[in-house]
Amino acid sequence: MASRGVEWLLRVAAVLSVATCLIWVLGSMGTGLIFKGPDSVRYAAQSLDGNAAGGSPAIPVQPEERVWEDLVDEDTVFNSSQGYNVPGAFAEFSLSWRVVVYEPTLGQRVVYTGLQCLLSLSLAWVWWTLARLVASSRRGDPFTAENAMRLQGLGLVLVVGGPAYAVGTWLIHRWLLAVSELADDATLAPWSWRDAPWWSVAVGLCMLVLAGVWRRGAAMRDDLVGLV
Amino acid sequence: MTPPAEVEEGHRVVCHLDDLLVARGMTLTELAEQVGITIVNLSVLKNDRARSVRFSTLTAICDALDCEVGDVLSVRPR
Repeated sequence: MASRGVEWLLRVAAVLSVATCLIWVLGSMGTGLIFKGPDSVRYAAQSLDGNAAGGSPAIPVQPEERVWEDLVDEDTVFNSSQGYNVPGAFAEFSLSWRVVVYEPTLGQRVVYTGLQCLLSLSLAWVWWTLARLVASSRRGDPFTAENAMRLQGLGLVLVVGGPAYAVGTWLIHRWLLAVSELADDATLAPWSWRDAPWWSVAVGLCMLVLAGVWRRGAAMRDDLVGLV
Repeated sequence: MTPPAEVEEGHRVVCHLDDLLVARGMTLTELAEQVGITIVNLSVLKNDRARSVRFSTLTAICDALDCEVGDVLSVRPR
């Protein structure tokens, strides 16, 4: 009973991930059709994924010194680019800056939304594959070569997909900033491998290890097929 | 038609449960109840589709049919 509940939760998660992809396509960064529909549609979409429904790309940046000086009172706000050397503990406001791109071009929308859709569809595949794994366990036959392949696929998607998505996002942000009117006023933080989602790589490696164990289990199961 | 397990697995062991059941006047269902395994598994054994047999199963079958292992299983000549 519990495994059936888990299976259906995973299937629901997969459907929601596909729905998120659809919202990206229909939202303001896609075709904009959500905004032409009734309010209830827009609100439902925003509750599922507000960024997909009505967001614009927001690029984390560090503004040029002159921009900082023009906009911020340095007596009250901490500028991390200047460093600090003060005795004792103290507190100041700290700002994080983002460049928001409004009214992106069709090409910018396609690239940005495409990456988000790729993420959503990948997540949908992950949840659906996990659901099938749970379903096979519920049927009493989990140790099959097919499940070993599923675990291997999950592992590869997580090991490669997580860092790939992070790198892809950084590259797109760099491009969007470079072609924007603020290209000379802000810089994107250089790519650092510390920014990669290493949890995804770690979980993916665990999945690959499990896939090997499952493969061995499937072989042992085959040895017992037909045992009376 | 699916080939028997002996062809798939490369062995020539055949099961004589059919003959023994007829000789003892016993049905497969009755034997399954006495041996303590499912009718499905007994049917797999009877139809030469089993790939391996537990010693405990063989012992129970021989006790139920009052016979020896060689009466239940034999190796078909080449």
